[in-house]
Parts: sequence; C-alpha cells; structure tokens
Amino acid sequence: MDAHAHAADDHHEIEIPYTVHPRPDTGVYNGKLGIWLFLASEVMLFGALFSTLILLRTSAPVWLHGWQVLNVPLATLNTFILIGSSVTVVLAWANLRLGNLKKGKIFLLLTLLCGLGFMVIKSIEYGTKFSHHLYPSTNNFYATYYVMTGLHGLHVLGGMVVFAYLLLTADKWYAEKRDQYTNRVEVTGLYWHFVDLVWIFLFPILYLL
Amino acid sequence: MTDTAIPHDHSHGNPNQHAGGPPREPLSESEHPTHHHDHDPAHDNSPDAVRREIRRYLMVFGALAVLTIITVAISQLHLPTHQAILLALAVAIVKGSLVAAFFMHLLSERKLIYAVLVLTVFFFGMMLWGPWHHRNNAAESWPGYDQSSKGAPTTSTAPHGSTGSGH
Repeated sequence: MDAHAHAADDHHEIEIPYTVHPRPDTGVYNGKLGIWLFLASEVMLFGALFSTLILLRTSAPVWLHGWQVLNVPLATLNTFILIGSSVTVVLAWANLRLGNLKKGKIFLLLTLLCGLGFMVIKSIEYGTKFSHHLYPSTNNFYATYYVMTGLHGLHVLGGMVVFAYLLLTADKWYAEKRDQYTNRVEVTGLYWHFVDLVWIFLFPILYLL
Repeated sequence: MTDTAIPHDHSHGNPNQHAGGPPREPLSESEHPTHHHDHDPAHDNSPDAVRREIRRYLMVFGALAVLTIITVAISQLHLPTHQAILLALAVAIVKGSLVAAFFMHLLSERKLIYAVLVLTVFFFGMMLWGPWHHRNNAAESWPGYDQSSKGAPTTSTAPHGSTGSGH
C-alpha cells in the first residue's frame, strides 16, 4: 500500500530511458525498435492473409476479376489519398524537427483527414456491395476482399486514433518534451507507412487482377 | 546517395521549400548529413538537411503517383493473367520499396532494424511459398485437384499463371 502510493507520488519523476537518445547496444531509441518489432508481427498477420489468398485463388476453378466487380476509380482515388497521407506525415515530422509546431500540426491534421477520407470512400464501396447483397459469405473472392480490406481499414482507423491523440497533446508535449514528441510522430509515421505499403499491394491484387 | 541526383532547380515554385521558417541560403554542396549525431544517428536535424529530405519526400510522392497511374493503365490492357500478375506485382514492389526506403528511411537505418527485417522477410517468404508448393505438389499427385487445366492430368508442371482465373 505504502509502496504503491509512494510510486504514484513519484510518478512524474520517473524518467523512461532511451525515449530520445539511442540505446547504445541497439543503436536506436526504444520506441523505434518497438515499432519495428510490432511491424514485423504485422507483416506476419497480413502475410497469413496473402498466403490464404494465394491458396484459394490458385486452387479455384473460377475466380472473379476485381476490375469487373469492384470500383477501380474509387480505389485508385483511395490509393492517391493514402500515398498523400504518407507524405503529409513525413512532412509533419520534418517540420517538428525544424521547430515549427504549427506546420507540424497542420500536416498531422491533413494526415488524419486523409485517413478519414479513405474510410469514407471505403464505406461507400462496402455500402454499394452490401446493397447488391454481396457479402463475405457470397464466395471466396468476396470473403478475401472483405477480410483483407476490412483488416486494413481497421489499421487505418487505429492510425487515425493515434493521430488524433498526437494532435490533442501536441502543445503540451512539444513544449515539455519536444524530442520525445517528435519521435512519437516518427514511429506513428512508420506504422502509417506500413499501412500505406499494405494498400499498395492490396490495391492491384484485389482490384486490378 | 540521392542528394546529388536532386537538381537545385527543382525547388523553385515548391511551396514546401521554405516550410517551417524564414528562407534560407541555398544548400551547400559540401554538407554531409552523416556528420551530425545530435539525437538519432540515422537522422540529421540541421535545417538544410531536413529541407533536402522534404524535397526528396515530394519527389517520392510524384514517383508513387505516376506508378499508381501506370499500374491502373496496365490493368486496362487486360493482359493474360500470368503477365498481368507479374507486371502488377513488379510495379507494387517498386512502389513498396520507395515507401520503405524513403518514407520509412530504411536507406539509413541501424543494423538491428535490418536484422529484424531480414528475419521477417524470410518468414513472410516461407508463408507465401507454402501455398505455391502445396498447389504444385497437389497438381502433380492429384490430377483432379487442378480443375482449371482442362483434362490434362498428366501435366507435370502446372502453368501457375493460368490457374484459378480461367473464365
């Protein structure tokens, strides 16, 4: 009890090591190593689905062509939006390193809005499919389409939550721990680029082939 | 490595050139990003270096946009499935490499990150190789498995490009 209360009192004094400076043995700050390990696990998560897609598609006597049944123009627009949001998040990071919090926040907001735009377009696509009674249970093509784009969409949503958090805490964090905040934006950006990267492969595989 | 490939003229008319502060002097050619080790050795936080990075990011964005248009255009040709898959994957790999190399700055990352990625790529490759291997094996040992190769059970090597997408 006492020890617990004591720890709570001292909470603000605890310095988390290597949030800014690289750890000597790893060469990177801990957050960066953490996000890369997380992304490695993400590669395996999506990899399992790509693996499933290969198995289902190569075994299927008939497979739908994405360009015949899915909305390619909307997905192309979404590709541009996601690529654009990858640029805005690195620009946010670059501006924070330059000491320009205002521009950094603007680019973070743009990134968040790109994520929102992506989700709106995705929901329009889903809505159209649902209205035509095309569900994951319709066939293996739609099953893989919904699972893969759905999991990807959840990642976009997750990124948006983090960007919203980074925006809301920007002033306080940047004033108190500028370098740590900048690193937070960097590792969130690494995650966001990964989400972009997954879409770069999902788009041609599901929509164009 | 890409610094020398970026013409200085490119920055003219670029609204982000002076992002984050007053206009600066032209970049000095002798500036080497690796000489600064303030926080993360992988990054140079000097304003000139960051501005060079910003220009590079915008060029990568342009390349990604062009490649997106190319991959959509290729798909409009409705090539044979085998070629279409190869071309689409080739373009996607180039795009993905650009994102990883520049946006995720893997061009200048620490050894430990590379080690993590080498392991990841290996296991990811195993996962993709698995279904291929299974499918080709099944096609050899179980003729009926490959329903798309119409009545050719003696075919020893499956033409993987034409599988599964027949009309």
